[in-house]
Amino acid sequence: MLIFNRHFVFEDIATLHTSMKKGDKSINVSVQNDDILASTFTLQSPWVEMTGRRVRYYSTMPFEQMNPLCHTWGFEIEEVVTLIWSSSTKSIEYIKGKHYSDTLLQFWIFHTFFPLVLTLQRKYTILHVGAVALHQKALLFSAFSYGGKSTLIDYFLKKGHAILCDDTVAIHQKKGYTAISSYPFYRPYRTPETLGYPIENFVQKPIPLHAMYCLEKTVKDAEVSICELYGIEKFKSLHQSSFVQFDFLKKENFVHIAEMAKAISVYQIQIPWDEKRLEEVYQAIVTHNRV
Amino acid sequence: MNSTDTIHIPLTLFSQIIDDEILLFDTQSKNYFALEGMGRIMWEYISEHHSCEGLAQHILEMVEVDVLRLEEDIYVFIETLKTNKLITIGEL
Repeated sequence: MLIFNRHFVFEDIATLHTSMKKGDKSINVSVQNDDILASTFTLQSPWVEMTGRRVRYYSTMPFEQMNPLCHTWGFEIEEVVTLIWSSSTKSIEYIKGKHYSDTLLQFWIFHTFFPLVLTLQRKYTILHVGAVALHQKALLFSAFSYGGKSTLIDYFLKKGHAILCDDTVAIHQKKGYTAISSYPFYRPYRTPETLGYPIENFVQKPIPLHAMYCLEKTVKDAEVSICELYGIEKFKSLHQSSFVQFDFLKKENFVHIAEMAKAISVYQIQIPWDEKRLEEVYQAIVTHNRV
Repeated sequence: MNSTDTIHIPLTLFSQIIDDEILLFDTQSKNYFALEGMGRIMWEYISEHHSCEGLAQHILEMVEVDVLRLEEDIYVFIETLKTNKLITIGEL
């Protein structure tokens, strides 16, 4: 099972073992005792709210001073688990909290912690979007909360399309933009701290990024319409989809998103709020991308 | 302000060109601004010259407009930038 194009090896949890292919990049995940925190870190951030929990960061120096490719830092989810990233060994260590479970460990690593690792490495731009494959290219879907993103992803899945994620995707820029799948789960329901159902039809390798569609809910009987966004509206749509925005990365993030806005097309699609009309929405997107 | 006053652009303001617009991002207020057409021409001029001295003449070389109306437009533009803290006038 590839997560952000990496194989996660949970050394101490047999139930989370998955098969690994030759050549897969791997991330080892192993349990530690809590004395590692005091012996490793000198700085601790205040608590902040994230996904309904209080979280805080640990480091040996301010994040803005850390070498992006050579650092160790920690992330504590109150009473659940503390995760420690080591760049030198490309591994994660974790300390169990009072309410720890293997499921929560997996959720917090895949959903939040590893995207933070990638963000801090500055190699990828992480977007909070759903993504599907069409003609071997990635289409991104962005929406505000309850905006129909997961419902549309679910529909594409039922129509036989491979998906990259229903929540987060990593974007890499090297001779064009590519989209990298996050984790092979999708969640067509609202339950916090769950990854959702496992999916088989999952894009395993990075594929070219083609376009982003911003979903705009409209009344049931409205027409399905697609219009292209330009300039600031295009930028804002991409920027608002940024996974997490560290203050010290604001400038880099602005530049990355602006560069991306110059390279890809962004559209707004009006979606009538009626599940019976999803086929129409699906057909509109497929037709819009007809080769 | 006088046309010879120095115009400063805050270090916390970043700009990028996307399509036909100049996009400004104020990292202090986290607000975005877009300038197109004449606004873009004026911004590019003051970014380069740090003053609006010669700006009216620069525009008159490109388009035919009433001079008094143009000077008024420049004044309003500069005041709008000041109000939104996208520039400061005078010594730092």
